[in-house]
Amino acid sequence: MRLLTHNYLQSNVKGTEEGYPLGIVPETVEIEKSPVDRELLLSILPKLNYDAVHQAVAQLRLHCSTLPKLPSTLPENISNDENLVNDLYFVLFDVHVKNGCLVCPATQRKFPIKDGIPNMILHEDEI
Amino acid sequence: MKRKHLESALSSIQREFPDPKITLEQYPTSPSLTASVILTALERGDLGPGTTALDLGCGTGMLTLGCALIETDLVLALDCDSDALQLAKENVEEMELETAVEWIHAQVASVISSSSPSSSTTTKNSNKSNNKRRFPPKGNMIQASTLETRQLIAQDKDGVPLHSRCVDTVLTNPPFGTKQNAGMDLRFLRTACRLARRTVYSFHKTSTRAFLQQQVTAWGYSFHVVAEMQFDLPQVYKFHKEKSRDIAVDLIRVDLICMENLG
Repeated sequence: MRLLTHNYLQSNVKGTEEGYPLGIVPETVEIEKSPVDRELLLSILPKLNYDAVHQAVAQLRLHCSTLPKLPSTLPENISNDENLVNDLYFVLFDVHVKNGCLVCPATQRKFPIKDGIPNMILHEDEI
Repeated sequence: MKRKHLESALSSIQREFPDPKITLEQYPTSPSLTASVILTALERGDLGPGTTALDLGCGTGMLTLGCALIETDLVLALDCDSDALQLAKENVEEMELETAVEWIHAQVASVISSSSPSSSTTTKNSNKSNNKRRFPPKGNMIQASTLETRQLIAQDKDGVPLHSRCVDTVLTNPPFGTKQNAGMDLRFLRTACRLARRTVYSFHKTSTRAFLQQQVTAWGYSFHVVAEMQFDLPQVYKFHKEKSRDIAVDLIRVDLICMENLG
């Protein structure tokens, strides 16, 4: 699971008013460097929730100090800031949370991540 | 990308379910049907570079692969069966398309409940009246009831852990809702309409067309039959007596954008 996916996921457990963004408790994190695709990043970035990216990176940095520190708000013209483009591409596309769990911010329900796939299946009484 | 290239790329993967699960109505989407939906969506700008997609109930990943092959920015592939996800993942890795795809293990709930207790009665009543209504109401009534239905759909707890309008396009080859799965086709379609910003492509039995059209229109979206086709369902389950059986299937497209302008 990359942070790209984390950005889309929310907790739907019964009784959750605001299940977004999910907390991340990583166990195994793998870095798989890929060539920076600037166009792809700039295309997808406006569709993401930057606050959730920022929060996720801050949580992963506790486990994996090599991750870059991101600004708390996104500057207006990021396409001119090559370092930031590279950092964002790296955290979104190259960082893989292989094992660990996601945590619902409202209910603290844990969703396990196994072999890179988050298991968001709810029990019948949680729907 | 040319149709024959797409079809031959899709044919080269190991796409069978080794152990199909009857309750999930698992069977693979054929390369030629996949190529049809993918190329239709690409032509209309619903898929390809600059767009994001969700394959709702991805199974062995045929639609996911199709999206990735035409360079869709990101494809989220979601299924409730971890064996299917594993197989789909292998198929995608075999074609070296894994950077475009992300995997989610989750399920479309078989019962839809409302998020807050206070609105649960409204939801029930409104569903009831939608089911009963044979014809959409006229004039201003359409807009009012449509807006209400849209809000209710947005609040639905359908078990799918994604926020509303999170991707541009949703593709789904849902269970047809036979056997114990009655109504699953409609629930997949409803969830797909909650998650897409612009378009939903979905396969349904032609025999359900009038009913689905009425439902989708009541939600305030526009419903189009893009293609009529024959699904050649192979004999994957023991209860299928014939070797394979053709059933009439519609590829439908639900347009969400026209209604966004209304609201």
